[in-house]
Amino acid sequence: MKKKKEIQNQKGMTRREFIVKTGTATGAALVTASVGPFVHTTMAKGGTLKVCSYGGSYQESQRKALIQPFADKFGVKIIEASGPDIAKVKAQVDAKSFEWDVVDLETRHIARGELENLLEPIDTNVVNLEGIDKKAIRKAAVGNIFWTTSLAYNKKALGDKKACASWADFWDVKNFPGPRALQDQAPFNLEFALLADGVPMDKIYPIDVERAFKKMDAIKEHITVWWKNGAQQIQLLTSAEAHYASAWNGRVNVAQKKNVPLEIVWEGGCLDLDWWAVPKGNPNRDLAMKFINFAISAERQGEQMQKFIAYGPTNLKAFNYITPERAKELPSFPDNLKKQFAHDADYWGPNLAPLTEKWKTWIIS
Amino acid sequence: MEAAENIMPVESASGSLWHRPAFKQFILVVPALLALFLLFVYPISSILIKSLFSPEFTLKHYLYFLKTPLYSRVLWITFQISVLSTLSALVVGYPIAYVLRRARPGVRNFFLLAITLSFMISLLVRNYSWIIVLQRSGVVNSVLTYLGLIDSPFKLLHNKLGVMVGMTHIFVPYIVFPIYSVMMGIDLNLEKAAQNLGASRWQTFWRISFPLSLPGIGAGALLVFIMALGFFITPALLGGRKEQMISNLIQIQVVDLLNWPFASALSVILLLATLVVFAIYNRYLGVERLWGGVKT
Repeated sequence: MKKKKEIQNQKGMTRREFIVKTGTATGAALVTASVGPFVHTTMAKGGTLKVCSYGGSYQESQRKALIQPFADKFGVKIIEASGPDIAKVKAQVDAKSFEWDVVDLETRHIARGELENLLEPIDTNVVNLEGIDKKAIRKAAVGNIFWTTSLAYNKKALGDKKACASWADFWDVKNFPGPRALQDQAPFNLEFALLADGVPMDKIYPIDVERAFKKMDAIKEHITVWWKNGAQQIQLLTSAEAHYASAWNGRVNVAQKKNVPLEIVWEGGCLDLDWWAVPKGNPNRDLAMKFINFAISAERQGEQMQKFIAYGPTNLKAFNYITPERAKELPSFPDNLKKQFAHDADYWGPNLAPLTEKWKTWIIS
Repeated sequence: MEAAENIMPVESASGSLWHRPAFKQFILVVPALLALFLLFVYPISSILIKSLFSPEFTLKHYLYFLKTPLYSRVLWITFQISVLSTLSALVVGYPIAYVLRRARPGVRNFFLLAITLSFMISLLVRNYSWIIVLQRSGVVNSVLTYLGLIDSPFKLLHNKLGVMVGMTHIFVPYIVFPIYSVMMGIDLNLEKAAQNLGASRWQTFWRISFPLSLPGIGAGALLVFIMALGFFITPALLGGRKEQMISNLIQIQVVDLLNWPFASALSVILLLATLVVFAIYNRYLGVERLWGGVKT
């Protein structure tokens, strides 16, 4: 309740007060930024907010475009953490001791969190969902980026050979030879197998498990590497250990900017999201919702995707702040969007456990 | 020690608690006992409880382990990889310890320092270094191709061989030190005596040096084997599709599927399997040897 009052006070301050306060806040933030980037100390009049995300260049883009501006604008002290997962959220909710107020989570974690009632419903009185793509709206989470897992290849390694243009080509090892890599997990791969087998994009879910595994059998012995983490996919493609691999578009983009000759095939890509969510029962819920509202605004997302990272804004109006050249590199650019299918969190929620078991049994035999 | 105690006057039991030597000694171990309880007994018991009660007593998680072939198969793979990497670390580590024992002190200290330094390089860095060395376009294959010795690159990575190389590299220091310290306690005059009595170098090694160094081999092998059972980063990065470890399946159950009771059951099963190995070791070699004692 106290926090709510403070927020209201902030809304009620005069223009001069605002300028003075923001000035001090920015000054303080600049000082602390030189000490360490992870604690954004300000006057802390607006309270303290603990944000957890996936680290690396991704969290850096959030820090620059979302977190620091929020801290400056509302005089909130923000403490950042990295390495979220739903298991840690459950531990916090069970213990009623919250290390995170706002947490960035992948879809499978959100789906599991909703199934087990570990997340606060989104307060639509605070969070303005206007302009947000409807794929990015769930009961207890709002999407903050679109990202794509798709087919990528090393142009230089292929030489003058024709490159794969779809998952069907990827499966066609005769006409498109070369070492290949896929991720060691059921999600995405089963969908790609169905696409390669001729299933239209809108008929992928619910997954025909037998058909998908039968198609996986056909490619199994041709996969040289089953990658396990995000760093590996780019390392494999860059060193040409694999000429083709499923990969995440943001990582491919970073490599491209470093002049690595990688290309991404949008055709048949799996469009997925990262989400903002609030652990259930968190006493700092109101401020957390306020942060989410700020972070999904068109202007903030526009700056984040234009300047700092090549993911897709979930707020479609954000494209107003993004140049046309840049927009073409992003997963939710309309031309790229129509070539992809959306990852179905509601299908995977209850099916992840049995299909993971089936996948692991399949892969060791 | 015993002689000293006999000479020193033993304080009478009638003295206050504070003045009893046994109590003073006990006070010294209290921090260690507390740490052991908080960091070991408590977490392991809570895992055991979590695997058996949800919330009523149930064996369903253990039955699920038994009736789903995946988990016992992966446990078996884990054992195979652990045994193989322990053996390979022994084959590499034993000669190092043997040579160090007989080297001049300067040379010996240099190599001991070098081995200690390898503890300080992060696991991930070492794994990625092996990727650079072993991959298709890596150092080994490039050199062999350049020399014209091979036409197409060897597959050295993303298979069992890659895992063996990576895990051996990590485990060798853990094997070298116990063997080396046991060897330091062996009187080299015994070897001279054997040779003096007509034994060949090979006979001297097999019948004198090797049996005397066995406690070191046992200690090092047990340490490494138990570490290997819980490994999963190295097999994940350097292995192929078949090199799956049980700890990886436990992690999926904890992080992705939130099935903590089943994850706990898997952990308890892994712990039990480890204890079985420990018991076998104790039966044949004796746990006392781990800390340098002699089996009685």
